[in-house]
Order: sequence, then C-alpha cells, then structure tokens
Amino acid sequence: MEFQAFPVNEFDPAIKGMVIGGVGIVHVFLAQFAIGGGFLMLFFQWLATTGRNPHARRFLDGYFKVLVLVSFVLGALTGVAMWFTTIQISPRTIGVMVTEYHWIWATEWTFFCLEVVAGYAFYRYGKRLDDKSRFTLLGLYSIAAWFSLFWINGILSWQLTPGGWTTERTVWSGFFNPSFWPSLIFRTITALTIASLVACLVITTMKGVDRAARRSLQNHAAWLLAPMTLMPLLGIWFLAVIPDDSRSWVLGGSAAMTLFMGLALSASLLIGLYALIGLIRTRLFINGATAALLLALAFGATAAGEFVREGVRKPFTIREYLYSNSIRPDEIATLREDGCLSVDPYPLRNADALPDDTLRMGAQVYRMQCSVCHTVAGVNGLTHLTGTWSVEQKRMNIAKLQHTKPFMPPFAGNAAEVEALVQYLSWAHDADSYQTDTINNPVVLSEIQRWLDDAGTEAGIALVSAGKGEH
Amino acid sequence: MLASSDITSLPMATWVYLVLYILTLFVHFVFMAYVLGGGVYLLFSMARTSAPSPSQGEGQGKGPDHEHAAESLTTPTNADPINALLRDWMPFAISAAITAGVAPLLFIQILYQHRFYTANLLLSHRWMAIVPVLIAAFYLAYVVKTGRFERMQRHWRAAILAIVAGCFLFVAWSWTENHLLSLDRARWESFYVESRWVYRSFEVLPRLAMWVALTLAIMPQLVRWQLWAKRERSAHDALSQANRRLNVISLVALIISAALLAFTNIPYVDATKLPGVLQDWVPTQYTVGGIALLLACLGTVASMRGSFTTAKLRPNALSMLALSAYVFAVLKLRELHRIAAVDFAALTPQHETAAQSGGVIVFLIFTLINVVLAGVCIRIARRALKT
Ligand code: HEC
Ligand code: HEM
Repeated sequence: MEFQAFPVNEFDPAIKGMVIGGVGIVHVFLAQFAIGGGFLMLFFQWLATTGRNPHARRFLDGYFKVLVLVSFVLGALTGVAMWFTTIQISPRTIGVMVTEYHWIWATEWTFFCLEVVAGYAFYRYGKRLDDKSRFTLLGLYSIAAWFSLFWINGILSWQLTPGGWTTERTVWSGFFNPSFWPSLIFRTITALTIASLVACLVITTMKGVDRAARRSLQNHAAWLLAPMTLMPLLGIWFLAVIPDDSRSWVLGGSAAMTLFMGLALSASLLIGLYALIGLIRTRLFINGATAALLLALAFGATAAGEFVREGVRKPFTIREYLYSNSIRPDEIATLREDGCLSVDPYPLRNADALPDDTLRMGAQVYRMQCSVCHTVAGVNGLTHLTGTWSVEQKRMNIAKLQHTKPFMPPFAGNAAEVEALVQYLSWAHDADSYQTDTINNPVVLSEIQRWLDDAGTEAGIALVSAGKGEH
Repeated sequence: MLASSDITSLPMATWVYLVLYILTLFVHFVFMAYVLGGGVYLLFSMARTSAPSPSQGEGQGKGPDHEHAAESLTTPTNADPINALLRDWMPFAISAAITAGVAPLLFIQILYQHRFYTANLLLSHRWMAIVPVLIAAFYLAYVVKTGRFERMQRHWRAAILAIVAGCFLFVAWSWTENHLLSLDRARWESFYVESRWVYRSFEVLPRLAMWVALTLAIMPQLVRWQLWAKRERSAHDALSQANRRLNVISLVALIISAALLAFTNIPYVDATKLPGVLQDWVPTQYTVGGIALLLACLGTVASMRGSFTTAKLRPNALSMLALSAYVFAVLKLRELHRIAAVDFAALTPQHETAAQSGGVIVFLIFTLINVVLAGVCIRIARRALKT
C-alpha cells in the first residue's frame, strides 16, 4: 500500500477543527472584504464620475487605504496561513487537492498577481489619475479579486459535493459541482455586505464632511447590503444540493450545526432587513457604534457559515474519497488486516508518561485515527464521552465507530488496536480501571473482531442516506 | 526498487513541474532579495547616518500625502536616495515577494509532496510563526515608509529597522531549515519525538549566510534600475555616490556569497545518484555558474570605473544577465542536489498522476490575459508618473 504516514501534531486542549476554523474565519472575512471592497469602490467611482455623489471620490481614497492596509497585508498572509494550517492539520487532504487542482490554483495565482498590480497602481498613483483610468484600475482590481473567489470556490465546494468527479475524475466535473453556484453567490453577497458595512464605518470617521454628506454616502453604500435578503433562499438552495446526511446534521441531526446554520441565516436576514428599511427606505444615518455592531454581526454570520461548511463534511475532508483522519475508504480493509500502526513510523512524544506497551499502542492508535476530531480530556474529549461506559460498551462502540455516530469514519485497525485504544481511554479516565493483558486475550479479541466485521468497512453515512439510521 | 540513477530519462510531467518550479522560484528570489537585502541595508545605513534634518520630514501631520513622504526624500537635499527608495518600495516588495512565493510553493507540493509536508509538520509552530512574523514586518514597513518614522527618535528608528530586518532573516532561516530538514530523513523520528523547534545542523548557518549575501548582491542591481528611472528628479552628486555604493555592495556581496557557497551542500552533488539525463548537468552548472560569476563581477566593476554620468546608472545588461545566470546556476545545482538526495525515481509517478489532472489550457489562457491586463495597469501608472 502506498500509505505514507505524516507526523501528527496535537493542539490540546483545543481540537484541530478549532485551529483551522479560527484561521479560516479570519481569512474568509478579510478576503471577502477585499473582494466586496473592489465592487464597492467601482460603484463609488461611478457615482463620482457621473456626478451622483460629490463626496464619492474623497471617500474612495480613504477607503482604499483601509482596504490596502487590511486586505493586502492580512488578506494575503492569512491566505498563506490557511495553506500552512491545512498542511498542519491534514497534509494528505491538501496533497490530494494540490494534485487534482494545481492548474486551477495556478490560474487563481495569475489573478492574485493582477490584483496586486492593479491595486498597487491605484494605491500609488490613483490620486493623480483621471476618472476613466481610475475606473479601469478599479475594474481590473475588482474582477481579479472576484475571480480568485471564483476559482477557490470550485475547489472548496468540491470537497463537500464532489459531484461527477467521484466517477469521472476530471477537473471540471469536480470544479462545477452541485454546490458551486449557491456557494459562489452566497460568498459574493457576503463579500458585498462586509465591504458595505466597513464603508459605513469608515464614513463615520471621515473628517471635513458634514452629516448630510456622510448620510448620502452611507445610503449609497447600503445598496450593496440589499442582496443580503436573498440569503434564506440561498440557504435553501445550498441545503437542497448537499448530501442527505450532511443535510440531516443541519436540520436537527447535530444540535450545534443546526444552531450555527440558524445563526448565520438570521444574522444575514437581520442585516439585509436593516439595510432595506433603515438605510435605503428611510435614509437613516448610522453612527460608528451601530456600524461596528452590524459588522460584528456579519463576522458572526461568516464564522457560523464557515463552521457549518467545515462541519457538514464529516466524516470526510473530501467527500467519499478521504476521511478526516487522512485514511481513504479503500485503505480500511487492509488496515484492519495489518493494523494501522504498521504504517506509522513515528514513536510517541510522551511514551515515558505511559506505563506499558499496550497503553502506548492505544495512544498511538488514538493519535492516528481520533486526534483530528477529539482530544483525550479537552474539547470533545474522549474520556468525557466514554467516562460512564463499561469496557464492553467501549469495545463495541469503537469497533463499530461509524454506527456509533455516522459522522465518524469506520475504525481502521485490527482488534488488538481497538482493545489497546479502549484500555488507553479507560486508563486516561481512571488509572485503576486499566485491565492489563486483555490485549492478548483471545476471547476479547474475537468478540471485537465480530463487531468489526459486523460494522463492515463502509462509511456510516450510507446508513443515514438509506434512512436506516439508528437515531 | 528502482534507483534514481537507473532511470535514464524523466517523464515530461516531471520536466514541466521542475522548470516551472525553478522559474517561479527565481522570480520569488528577485523580490525576496529586494526585501531581505533591502531590510539589511536599511538597518546598516541607519547605523551610519545621523538623524535627518526636520526639513526632510515633509508633510507634517496626518493626511493622504503623508503616505509618500519617503518618496519626497529623493529630492536633491537628501543624502542617500537608496535609503529613500527602499523605504518607499518595501511594502510593495513584500507583497510581491509573498505573492511570487506562492507559485513555487504550489509546484514544490507536487514535486516533493511528502518531504515538504513532513518538514512543515516537524517544525510545526516554528513554521507557522512565519505568518505572524511577516504580518509584523509588513506593518512596520508601512510605518518606515511614513513621515512619522523620520521624526522618531534615532533609537526608535533603529529598533524598528532591526525588527524588520530580523523578521525577514527569521523567515529566510525558516525556509532554509525546512529545506534541509526535508532532506534529512534519518532525523525525522527523533526530531518529532523530542518536539524540537530548531533544526540544528552545521549546514544551516553557512547556507543562510550565503543567501543573505546573495540578496545583497541582487538588491543593488534592482535599486540601480529604480534610480535610473528617477534620474532626472535626483541630484547628480547623490546619484554618483549611490551608484558607487550600490556597485561596491553588489560586488563584495557576490564574492562573499560565492565563497560561502563552498560551505553549503549545494555544489556537492552526487552525480551517480542522479537520473541519467541529469548527470551531465552538474559540470555544466559549474562552468556556466563560474563564467556568469566572473562576468557579473566584471560588469559591476565596469559601471564603477571612470567619472560618473547618469548614463552609468543605466541597468548594466551584462551584470544583470550574468547575475541572473549565476542565480539560475545556483538554483539548478540546489535542485540537482535535492534530486540526488531523495529517491527521485519513486516520485516521478506522482508527477505523472498530477499531470493527468486538467486545467492547464485554462491556466495558459488566463496567464496570457492577465499579463496583458497587468500591462494595462502599468501603462496607466506610467502615464500618471509623467503628469
Ligand atoms: C471526523 C471526526 C471524528 C473522528 C475521526 C472521530 N470522531 Fe468520535 N466523534 C466525533 C464527533 C463530532 C462526535 C460527537 C460529539 C458529541 O456528540 O458531542 C464524536 C463522538 C464520539 C464518541 C461518543 C459517541 C456517543 O454516542 O456519545 C466516542 C466514544 C467517540 N467519538 C470515539 C472516537 C474514537 C475512539 C475515534 C478514533 C478511533 C473517533 N471517535 C474518531 C467526530 C469524530
Ligand atoms: C519575505 C520573506 C521571505 C524571505 C526572506 C524568503 C526567503 C527564502 C529563502 C532564503 C529561500 C531558500 C531556502 C533554501 O534553499 O535554503 C526561500 C525558498 C522558498 N520560498 Fe521564500 N522567503 C520569504 C517569503 C516566502 C513566502 C511568503 C512564500 C510562500 C508563499 C515563500 C515561498 C518559498 C518557496 C516555495 C521556497 C522554496 C523552498 C524549497 O525549495 O525548499 N517564501 N525563501
């Protein structure tokens, strides 16, 4: 088997999802600001050129500085951070993504370059340029920024809904996958929203313009918030195209997921309604505090949205192709035969803290198969989850992992490894409950083997889709 | 298993990724040289010069014009136009170095996926620290660009420049460490178990020093180019002095860098471990690199001799080309060393798998379109410069 193990880092007491989620949320928020900001400036340049808003040009130059300082620096570097974090959490996932989509990424990169050139040209020389040249530069900047979203969106949505790729294995069958368009529109609208809210905030800090001018600028900026009211519709579209089991998590199957999805949608709706009624119809002026609050609401919605996007993929990082713990479905059967530790050359970091080889073996199995979603005793800690279970319960539930919860992958090791893991978890919970030598007990092992065989090597989600779920 | 030396030819896919990797890494190096070499230069020129007279800190108070205060320093009153240029262009150069770094980052993941990721994972937090460190450097570079920076007290300015240069050095050190660790297969397990943060090896320091010296050889050539573009707006004396200084730095740094190269593993390629087609490449790189080095030195000396006219600033085609050829030779040797050090025959099937994924046509089309569009932007910017 071509399985190549990687060294595994743990981030106790946090789970890895929190690490990548944290970086991801910041990056997505900033990148979307950069994208929406392009369109907003284009809109304001048009307002300036056509004389519709005499203050537009002045606002533009101030706003662009914020955009450059925030998005050029943080946007670009958090992008690199995203890449590096993905390598830290799941090198195999990013490896597959690069192998399959490097030309898409290379294409996206040419747009980055254009974005930097156009943006920097505007930043440095914009003030000396006539309206037409400014419009051209801003236009190119916006198009380049939006296209970077276009490309990356194809790759990210493919992870959840690979669509035709599963059978055809071609770049485009994966790229234009079922959730491509709803995700793209969803993200574009979010980008416009964030840019508009930042604009409202920047406008409140402008010096040398009166309140009426600020209000007129804000009312114009608010036009970009209006599409937010479409969010619930897009939410429904998105739910309609994602796999049955993922949908079932969002619609009540996982309380956290349902909560976050609800939060994201209601926050979006609120912002959209506020924009429609407050800013566009009654032409309100919003002060700095309100603008900041709305922006925080948008950040919350982005965060919740990203959480859902990451969460509903479980147990996969690439649907039907790679489990979250970097094991492929077609490798499970072999690993059940040979044991998963046969492919992991890295010894434990804390080997001395563990009294014997069985526990070391258990810790190593945990590290390889569970640590991507769990900790031992921290967030989503296994000793909490299994604390009240009898040893038989642990054996069965771990051997039949994908039946215990369908958003977990099947166990990918042999019976002795299940037992070592069970004993390790017992020991970590309460050292006295550790039973030595069970790992060599044929009765225990054959029972575990029966459960492993019962559960099979299929993913548990198949059960959900078929409506045979035990929940 | 097949030894790399048993394979006589390389698959097309491998060639494509290797060539793209080296080309894009070269571009990364150009911008990176401006950033790292420039950062080091700024720090040292700070140590030499005294505080500027208040008249130089034009554009007092906050305001949009304030941003480009550094640009105004290239006026005849200013003693060191190099300093002003570097300060003015540093933020952009960082942006460019990072953006240019993304492309080789993509190709290295196809060429040496498992090794590259493993080194990343082993260095872990240390590796991830590149990001916050670069963010800090980036914002400080913006501070250095403003007029406020000039009005700061000397020790503050020195501290800020030291942090900026330190940040770039840290990033360069991290890349060097990552590269060497990715090749040191025997150390992986122990490095992991001991949760080390620093890869200690006698190869790290000379290699890092060699790169730093190389950036100090490249940066002056780029700055001379910029000075040439601005020659009409600058004082003759200042330009003359700057030209001499840049040439001296470039020459000395290039010689030091070439000498340091002998203390790195880069030139010592075990040709017997290379795939057949590549075995002749090693002596070729020695020859080409050696000649290029000599020509680059001669070209630089030539632009120093005689009395100064602004024409002397004109980018010296000979030194630019020769220096580029030298850098390419070093990059190629660096790659040959790596190919010989890893089991390359086992990697080529992965390159072929990767090459089966589509999208290359779309990439080529958009590359063309975006190059043209970037050209449009640059033309607009140049028009602005003329007005
Ligand atoms: C794809 C991520 C993922 C992986 C990999 C994973 N789990 Fe889970 N596991 C979860 C989630 C999510 C829950 C639900 C937690 C909750 O309900 O609070 C869970 C719950 C559990 C529970 C409690 C189940 C219950 O019914 O209360 C146990 C026990 C458990 N996991 C053990 C394991 C073990 C052992 C492994 C490694 C062999 C593992 N998990 C691998 C995501 C994962
Ligand atoms: C501005 C700060 C940076 C500096 C000073 C810097 C410096 C360097 C140096 C010295 C090397 C050569 C390493 C060696 O062979 O020993 C290198 C290689 C490289 N750099 Fe950068 N770099 C910087 C930022 C970046 C960024 C942000 C990226 C990615 C987005 C990047 C991508 C690369 C890649 C892919 C290589 C090749 C690595 C290899 O082949 O092992 N660099 N860089």
